[in-house]
Amino acid sequence: MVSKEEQNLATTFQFEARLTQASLIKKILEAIKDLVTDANFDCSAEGLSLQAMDSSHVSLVSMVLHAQGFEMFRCQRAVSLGINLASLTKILKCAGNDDSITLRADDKGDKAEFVFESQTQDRLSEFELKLMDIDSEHLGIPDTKYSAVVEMPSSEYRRICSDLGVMGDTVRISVSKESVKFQVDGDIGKGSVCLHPSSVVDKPTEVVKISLEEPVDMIFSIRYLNFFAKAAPLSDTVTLSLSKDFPLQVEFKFGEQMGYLRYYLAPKID
Amino acid sequence: MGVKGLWELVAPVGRRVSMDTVANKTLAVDVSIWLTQFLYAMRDSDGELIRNAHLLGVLRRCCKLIFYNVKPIFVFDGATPQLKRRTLSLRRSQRNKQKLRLRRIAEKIVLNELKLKKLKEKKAKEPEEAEESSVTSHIDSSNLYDQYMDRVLKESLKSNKPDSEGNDDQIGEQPDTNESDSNFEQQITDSVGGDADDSETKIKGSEQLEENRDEGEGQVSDSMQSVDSYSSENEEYEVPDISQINPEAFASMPPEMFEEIVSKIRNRERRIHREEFLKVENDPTDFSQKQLDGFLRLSLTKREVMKARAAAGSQLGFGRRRIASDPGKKYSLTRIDDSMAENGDGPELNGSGDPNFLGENNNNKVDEGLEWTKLVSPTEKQEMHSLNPWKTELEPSMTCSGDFSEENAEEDIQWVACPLETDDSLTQQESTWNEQRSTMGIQHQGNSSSCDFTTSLKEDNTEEDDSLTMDFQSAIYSSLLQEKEHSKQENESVQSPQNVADSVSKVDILNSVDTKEDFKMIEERNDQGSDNEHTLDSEKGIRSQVCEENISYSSPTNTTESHLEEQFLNEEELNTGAFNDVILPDEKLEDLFQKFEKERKDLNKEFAHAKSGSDIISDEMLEEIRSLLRILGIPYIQAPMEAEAQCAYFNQVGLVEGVVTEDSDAFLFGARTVFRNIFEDKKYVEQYEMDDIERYLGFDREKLILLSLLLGSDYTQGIHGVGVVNATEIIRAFPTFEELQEFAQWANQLTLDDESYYSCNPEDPNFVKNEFFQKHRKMKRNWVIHDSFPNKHVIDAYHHPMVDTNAIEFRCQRPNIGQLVEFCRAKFGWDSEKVKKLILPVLKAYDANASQTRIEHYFHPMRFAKIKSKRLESALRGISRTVDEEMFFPNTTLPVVKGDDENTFAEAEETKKKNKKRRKRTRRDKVS
Repeated sequence: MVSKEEQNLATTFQFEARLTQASLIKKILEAIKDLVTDANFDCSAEGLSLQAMDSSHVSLVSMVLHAQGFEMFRCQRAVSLGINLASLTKILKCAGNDDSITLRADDKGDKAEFVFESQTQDRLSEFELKLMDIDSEHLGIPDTKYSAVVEMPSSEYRRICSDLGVMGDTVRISVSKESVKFQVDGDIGKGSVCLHPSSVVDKPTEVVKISLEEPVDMIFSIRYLNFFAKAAPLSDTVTLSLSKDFPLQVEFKFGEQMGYLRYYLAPKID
Repeated sequence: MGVKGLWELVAPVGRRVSMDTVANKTLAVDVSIWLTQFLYAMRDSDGELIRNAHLLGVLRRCCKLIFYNVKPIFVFDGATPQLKRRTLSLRRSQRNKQKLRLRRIAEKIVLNELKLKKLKEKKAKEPEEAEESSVTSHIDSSNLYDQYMDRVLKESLKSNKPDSEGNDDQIGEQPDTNESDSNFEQQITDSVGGDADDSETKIKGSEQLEENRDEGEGQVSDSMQSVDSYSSENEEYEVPDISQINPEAFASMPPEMFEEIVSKIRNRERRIHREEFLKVENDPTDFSQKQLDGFLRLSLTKREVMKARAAAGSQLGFGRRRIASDPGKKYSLTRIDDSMAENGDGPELNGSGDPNFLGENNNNKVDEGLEWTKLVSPTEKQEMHSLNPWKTELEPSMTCSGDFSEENAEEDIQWVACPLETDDSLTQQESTWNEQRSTMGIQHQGNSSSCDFTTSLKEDNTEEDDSLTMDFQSAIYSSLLQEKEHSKQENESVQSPQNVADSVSKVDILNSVDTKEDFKMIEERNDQGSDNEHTLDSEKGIRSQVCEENISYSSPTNTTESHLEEQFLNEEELNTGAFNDVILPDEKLEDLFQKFEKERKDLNKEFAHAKSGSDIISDEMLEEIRSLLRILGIPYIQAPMEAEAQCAYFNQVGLVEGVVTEDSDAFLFGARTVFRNIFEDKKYVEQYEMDDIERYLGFDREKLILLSLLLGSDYTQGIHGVGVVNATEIIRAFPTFEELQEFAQWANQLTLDDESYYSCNPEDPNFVKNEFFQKHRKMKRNWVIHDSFPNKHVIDAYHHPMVDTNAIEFRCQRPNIGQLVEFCRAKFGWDSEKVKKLILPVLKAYDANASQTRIEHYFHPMRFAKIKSKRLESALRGISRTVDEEMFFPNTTLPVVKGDDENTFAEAEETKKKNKKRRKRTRRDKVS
């Protein structure tokens, strides 16, 4: 698919990657731009990744797009693209959902190129984005075996969060073998939503699954859970992983082998 | 504070954590440095300390702690350890310096203010001056005069030495002159730098004088018959001729009026003089003849006046008692008093050399003087005068009676003019001087003494200088001086068409501008300069007195400023400005104006800055802070000695989870976790773990203490020339106290041979040391090692600090809002709304049962600093067993001497260049 001309051009770039669906990148941006303003896109041979904390350092976004998920991926040496997400969103608005998207970065690291190509290949738009030097903190996320892992439809997750969000600002998530319960105790009153593991597995996307090591009962800020819900379009299911005294992990997978978008939320403590 | 450079050393193992990391923790807070910080930092835009800054600062910081639900215990400093005294005394001397600096700047500011005002005034005068300039045809001559004056001033400014030397030439020894000169000098500095406190009383004094004057005027009208010739409107024609002065009539006059009349007489005389001089301007012989005539006439006038004054004085005690008892008076002339007392026994014998006489002898002297006046005939004087204007005059004696000084004895002032009956020029001058002082002394009682007094000295200097430099050719100068003087007078009369003295004082009162005063002083000096040549003592006495009087009467002004007037006069540049202003073009004025404007701004800034370092902490402040802490429910403790030691102790025994301090000593006292910069308005707090320091830097508490011996701390001076890098290298080679002694021995050894070879065989057990010796053999010459190094006491002091070991758990309480509102109202003038606005969010956070944790709590943040110095790095690798590569810049590190083979070194070298570029990126990659 790569034309000769493009190949020649590509040699000048340290990093070049193409995705067939621009919509994926667009959705990812939508999912994180409210939480993070600037972020470094780290490009390495393994793929494209991003880690960023929100300004109050309560939550952490970790996104990984594996190299094999791209139509074309070439990285001669690791580069880090400091991007203002609002600017990137503006550029991505210019891409059609079905357009293919090519991302390039040269050696200097002061700009990134975006090329959008329509499916019919009759429309080609190129954009250049100025990069910034972002001094962000990188945190090492330890591999953890979570006490409780709940899988549920992402639409359900979004609904619960928005419903409970009107009641208060703190949600108590209790996971037991039988159910996962979201409780709110707010100024105007109380509310709770309880989900039971589905017995019938008709539609795999509507299944609620609970795998439990030990029961967990923690409280979190609903505000952040609502931010995470913006990633619902990325995936049909969402996985909540909880451990006592450890941040909640909310994971949206982009399909097999493609990558994931993970949110971590520090718990509140009594 | 703390160990020099220690923060720098431990920074690489510090972590930058969010404020939430300290949330919910129990922390010992070292507040010993807080107050200093508040006093230094909390300033308004003018550099003034904010009211109750210490309380406000504490309140804010406490609110921050409460907001984050920190359970703090505040630790106050206790007594100062013996070892720390030296550091403290150093700090104190610094503070004193600061004070001095502050004062100097204050002086400069006032000076500048004066310059500005003067310029403004000049500007306002400009039109009149223009008018004036057409009348006065002697602009050139005044220019000449300016130059001359500048020179004279400069000389007199430099020191009085040349003068006295010249005097010695003339008459031999004049020790007293010198002495008193220096006294005056000293006094000038004193009075110029005088406290602002005085100014208030002085102002009061001048106000009172003002009243007195009013009263005096009232009396004038009452006693109109006795001075029927007097009229304030057109005195020029009605003031009696000098020969007609009737001592009795004068005696019956109120003193103020007497002075006024005298001044008028004098001014008229002066005017006549000028007219005469102008006529013979081009004929030197006639000119000097006229001068002599004028001088004789004026001395006659003065004598008459003095006679009258003496008469008045004998009757009424010269009517000065009222002024003399003025409470606003201030004398700072003690040293001169001393010399007076010394000379009191034989004043007449000492007369030739000593300007100071006791008042008691004055009565007969006055008599003598009066008698003498009658004896000397004008012709005689004239003859002598033409021979040598300086030597002719037999000094008339005159002035205040003995009662005067006696009356004022309790006020330590004995300004008495002395009659000097020698033909010595210097003595003559001195007598003039005395006279001036006497008259001034009188003035002093009502006015601010120092101001006038300094004037007198200046006059004197100028005068003396004149006498030396001018000599015979001075005739020319004097004519110029006179012209200048007259032009000045004209200036004044242009301003108001009334008689000179009156107009001056009236204008002054109207404007109530002190610069007027200054203007007059210049004029006065003018007078003095010219008088010096041809009118000498008597004239001068009256003249200066009158001028002084004008000033004192017409100065409802800030006396502090008039203090500085003198300094102002001294400034050569300024002088030129003052004199040249008459002929200055507009632009130049504007320039000057802007210059001063700018100067003022700069000075104000400097003042504000200097001020910030000059306040000190009082016990009262500490007590206020304690009561605030009680209200906020924060426990506090007074450490027996050092606060950070107490904090460290709490940390050691586990009472607190961390220590909040800016003092790196805390590590040496055994603190395990230290938080720094917790109250800076940043997102992050610096957290230092002793574990990290031990693990990654290889410094345990013992080594840190040894390090402090090298670097210097509150307890020890350290080795001059040894910084963090050298110190680390030293500790690596000499990790124990005993070995440090060895080091000291080596360092103190004189090695003449720089090439002395130390075996650097890695097999050798002493390899590290030898390597160190080899590397530092040249360096040690720059090191200044104290005899006491290494001091065991310092180590003991760090190991066994005096702390309160009563480890009772403390408990924080909820802030008491009611009391806090009350407290803030009293201390900051806040209403309850404002207090609640501040405290309610804090309390809400305090009360919140669930607090949000932060991600960094769980996920490890990266280190924020890396070791830059390669030598330091290599030394650290030597000390520490486990080196965290994260602390160093990747791959740029030199291999450790031991262990690493050459291949890795070459490889590292090879990749170094490449990696430098990529350093940042690779760091990022590593994480993700």
